[in-house]
Parts: sequence; structure tokens; C-alpha cells
Amino acid sequence: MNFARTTCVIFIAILGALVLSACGPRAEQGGNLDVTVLSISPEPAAVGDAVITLQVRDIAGNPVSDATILVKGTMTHAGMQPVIVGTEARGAGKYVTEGFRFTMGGDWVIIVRATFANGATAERRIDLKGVQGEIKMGMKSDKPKDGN
Amino acid sequence: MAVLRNQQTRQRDLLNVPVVGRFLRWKHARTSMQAVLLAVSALILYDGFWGPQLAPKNLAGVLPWVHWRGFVVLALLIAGNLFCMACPFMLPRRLAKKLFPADRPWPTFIRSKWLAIGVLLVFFWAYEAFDLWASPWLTAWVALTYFVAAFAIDGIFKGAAFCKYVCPIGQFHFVHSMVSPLEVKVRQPDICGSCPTKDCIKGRYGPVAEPSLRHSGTSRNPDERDKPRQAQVSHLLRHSRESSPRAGARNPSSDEQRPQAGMREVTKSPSQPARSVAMPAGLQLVQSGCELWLFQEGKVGNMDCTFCLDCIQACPFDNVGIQLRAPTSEFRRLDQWHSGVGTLVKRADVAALVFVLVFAAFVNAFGMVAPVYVLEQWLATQLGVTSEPVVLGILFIVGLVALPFVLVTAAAWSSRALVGGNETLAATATRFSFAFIPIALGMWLAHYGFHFLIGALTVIPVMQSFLADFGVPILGDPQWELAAIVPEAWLVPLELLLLELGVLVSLTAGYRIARSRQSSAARAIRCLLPWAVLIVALFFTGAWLMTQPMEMRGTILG
Repeated sequence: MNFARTTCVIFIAILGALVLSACGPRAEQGGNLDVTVLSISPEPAAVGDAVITLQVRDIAGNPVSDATILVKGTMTHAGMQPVIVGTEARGAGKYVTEGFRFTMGGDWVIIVRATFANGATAERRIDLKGVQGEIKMGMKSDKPKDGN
Repeated sequence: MAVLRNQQTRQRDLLNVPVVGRFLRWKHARTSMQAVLLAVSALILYDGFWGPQLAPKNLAGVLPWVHWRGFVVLALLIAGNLFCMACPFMLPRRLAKKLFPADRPWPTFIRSKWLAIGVLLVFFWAYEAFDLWASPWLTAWVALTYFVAAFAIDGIFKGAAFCKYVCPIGQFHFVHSMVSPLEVKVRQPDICGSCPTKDCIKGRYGPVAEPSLRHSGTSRNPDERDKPRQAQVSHLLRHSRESSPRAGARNPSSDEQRPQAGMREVTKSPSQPARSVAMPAGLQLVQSGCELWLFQEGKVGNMDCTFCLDCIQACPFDNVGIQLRAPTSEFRRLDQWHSGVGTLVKRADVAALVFVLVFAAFVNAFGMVAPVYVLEQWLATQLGVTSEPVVLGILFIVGLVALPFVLVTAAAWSSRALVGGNETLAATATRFSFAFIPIALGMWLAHYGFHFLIGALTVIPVMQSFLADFGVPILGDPQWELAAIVPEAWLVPLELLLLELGVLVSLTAGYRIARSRQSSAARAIRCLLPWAVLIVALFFTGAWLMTQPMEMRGTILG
């Protein structure tokens, strides 16, 4: 078997492996954290400042009150600056975002990252579809298109 | 005089730029660039199939849709078709050429741009219908499909059939590189006129270590190395002055390249005679000629040119360069016969390709602003349709086929009505289609440039995260806050500037095209008027789109 044929076999093998293994996307890791969005103000979610109230529990269902919770808001497409804010604990596993802003209309993903007292971390992703945009016919938006 | 002209040509030649020129002359320059992009493609495939399925955190979400698109349109603006030059899909395709006969001629009935237009339409529709921008997994599938298609098609068919007739990305680059400032072209036509071998199209044959003119000097001193070539060039110039200056201007595929005694036909192809090559017995191909059948002596402009540099490598007289030109220079040569392309003003398929890409620039941008959702909801309600792909399909057929057809036909009819003449509407539309390329490039630049400028740095945290997932966090913790490379306040003015440049160059090109057919400037302006109205209307549409709030929804209906 000459070099070219060997390379071909390798190429086709890689291709086959890719095809076989690519039958479905990898499942998202949920992490050992249960996060529920209790409310988003204003309701429904729209471009602009927003306050998100979260309920955070561990996998046993116990409220997590002593963690540092960071909220990262990003969109389903690449290339925008995510919105990363801290939260204020309100007790009984409730956390409220500080300074969060929906910068664009569309489908958002809220990633909640908890850092526990012992340094361990956990993440949870929440999909938030259809954040309302703003339509201005023929006028320049006074709000940024993307990023901050 | 000829010497002076030669010096001027060489001064405007990218191959004479230090470092860059030396690199591009290197035989493995293209392969090395392709290898880099192949490695990047492998990362995209891996992360797309196995990585986190959130586009902003995945290399398949970031690299193709933010960086690659931004780089290619910028490259078209400042240089030329650099993506095709470094195309990673060509490496497996080259392997296919070695493994399989690849000797079938491309079927005559699809030897045009119509198939590529169909693929382009499907791609633009699929991009929105299946949210390719939001799915690393589907993006990886698109890339994999590309590799397989290039491998399969060029493993069966001769030449670069995939590039010339199928590849939608290639068509995008072929069309928009018509206004790029660089062109691969002959330096001194006189030399080609006397060239006995036409290696630029046929390829160079010989033993592997062929002692050709190009390789005859082993000295690292360019002057020393070039002496034999210079002597040969001088001889050819003398010879060319004695004979007809355009004696060799015909495509060598025709009558002058019949196999001679002692030679055997290695690729017999009556349907693609440009590749009819006679190979001296006992020799082998050591350097390909142009696989897109662009014979340098008759090559005009950038249409179908992948910047593969095979002609530069093959020319034994170093008579092909990458030369600087005015962005509108190609529009003066539309009536000229183009080797491997034909006469552009007679290519309705090329004109259709141009118009699809022109309107796609606006429809594609329309897909990312808020008003599109209002329109789609309205359309779905009116038609009683709940399927998003169907609604998008209707919008794309209207936006990329029906609307362009109506507007272009109206402009062609008005233009003819204003100045008279017996040119058909199709011929008029074909002629003026090329004037729309600059405004289209302006729109693509504004759109893709926007994504690139606001997201260029997002690749850093994604790469940090990618390596961390592998257990090698050598780049540190992901810095997700990294994104833009310019202040956001610059974006809209920059986008409008690009659009304005586009409209100005389009109007200039349109005037040149009109003037080439009309006896006076006044008649040319009248002839141009309907087209200018359409160009300016597109400009205002683009400006309106760029000032709309962006909105990216995966699910539109419901």
C-alpha cells in the first residue's frame, strides 16, 4: 500500500469516525445545581435594564444561601460581549442580579455560576427565548446594538 | 519603453514585496497556508461535534461566523481572493486527485454557474431556517460536507470542477474579487506570445528534479539565480518582435496544442480542450497549470481565479505576477474575451450569480434585525403557515429571485427606453449586473465587518475554555468579557462609510459600463439612470438596515 492510499484510508477512517460519532450533539452538563428563574422584571423580558430573581438549590433540593452567584447573560450566536453581573443574596436560596441588561432582542442564555464556601463551583444554563427587541423604522437606535 | 513598462509593472507587483513576495514564490506557500486552515478546520470539526453546544463558547460558533467571514471580506477589500488561496478543502481534494483517475469531464449541461447559484440559495436559506449561526453541531456538519464534496467531486472530475462549478464560497469570492485591488496576470504579454510551452495552462512536465529555467540557479542571490531566465526572456522578446505580437494569444487548448510526434495524450477531453495536454513520454507532471482553465495569456480579471499561484509556479519565465490595479479596471474589459470564462457580457449565469449575491447581502443582513420578525409573523398569518422554514423559503424566493428579477427587468427596460438600441433586456441586465458588485461588497463588509469588530476577541476565551476542557489550561481562565476591538460608537459610522464607498464605486463602474456603449456622456448618463436609481435604493436600504436594532432569534414563529 503506497503512501497516498494509506493517507486515504486514514482520511476516510477519520471521516467515518466523525460521521458515526456526530449523530447527535453532546448533552449539556447541568452541574450539581438546580436554578429556577423566579421572575424577570420587567415582564416580559425586553431590551434594557432588567432584574432577574433566581432560586438556587443543590441537587438534594436544599436552598443554597452561602454561595457567590455570578450571572452571565449571552446569546445563542457568537461574537457579542456577554453581560456578566453579580447577585445579591436575599436568603432561602434567592438571589437578585445587580446591573443586568439585555443588550439585544432575541434568544438569550443565562449561565448561573455558583462558587461555594469551600471553593467548589457549579454552573447551570437556562435558555431564555424571545427577549423583545425594539423596532425603529428609519431611525438610529439610541441604544447599543451589541455588547454593553 | 518596454523595459520601463516592465519596471513599472514589477513595482506594482506583490511578488516583489520583500518577505511577502519571497513567501508567495515559495513552492509550498499555498500548501502551508492550507495546512494552517486545515488545522483550524479540524478544531472547528472537533469542537462542533463534541464541544459545548452554545455557539459563543464553541470554536465552531466563533471562528466561522465571526472571524472567517470578517477576514474574507476584509481580504477582498484590501487584497483579493485570499480565502481560495488558503482553502483547507483543497488538501483532501488534492489527495483525491492522486488516488482516483479524476478524468471525467464536468457534464456539459451544468458547465455554468447555475448549479452554484442553486447551492448558494439553499445555503442562505438553511443559514436562517436552521440557525446555523447558533448551532456548532450543524456548522461542523456544513464544514464536513464541504470536505466530502470537494474530495468526491474532484476525485471524479478533471480539473478544479468543484471550485469552478459548485463551491458557493468560491463563487462569492470570484464575484467580489472583481473589485479587489490585486489580480494575477501576465507581466509582459510579448513573452507569452512567444512562449513555446504554455506551462501556465498545461503544467510543467519533467523528471522530479527538472533542471528548468526556474530551478536552474541554486544561488541564493536573486540576480545570479535569474541570469539564465533573463537571457531566455531577452531571446523571447526579440523573437516576439519579429513575429506577430499576439501569435500565441489563442487558448493553447485549440489547434496549437495537438500532440506532436513522440508525445502521448494524457488527458483527452474534447469537452474541455483547455486541459488537452501532450506529455513527452517518460516525463511526469511536476507543476500543475491552471486547473480552472484560465490561460494566462487570455486571462482577464479575477473571475474564476482562486489565486492558487499554479501559473506563477509553472511559468518558466517568471512572467506572471500578482499586480496592483484600480478596483474598477475590470469593468472596462467586460466585452473582452476572458480565457476560461468567455465574454462576461454574454454570461447570463454569471449575471444571475452576481444579482443573487447582491440581494443576498441585504437579505442576509435583514435576517438579523428586528423588523424581519414582524414581516415573518405577518406572512405566516396571511398564509396560515406555521412552519418557519417554509416562511423563510418564501421570503428567500421573493428576496433573492422574484424581487431582483422584477427590479432588474424594470431597470433594463427603462435603460433601453431612455437611449434606444437593440440590445436585449437580458444582455443589458447582464452588462450592468457587474456595476452592483461594489455596493454588494460594501454591504457584506458592513455586515460581516460589524460582527468581526464587535466579536474579534471572543476567540480568546473560547480557546482558553477549549484548552481547559482538555485539562491543559495553559492560557488561564476564560476571560469572557473580551469581545470588541473597536469602540462601539465607531461601528455605525464605519458601516455607513463602507456602504458609501460601495455606492460610489458602483456608480462609477455603472458609468464606465454605460459609457463603453454610448456615444456621448449625456447618453451614458441616461442609460445609467435606472441602474443608478436601483444602486442608490440599495444603498439606502443598507443604511436603514445598519441602523436597526439587532435581534437574533432561533425561533421566529409562535
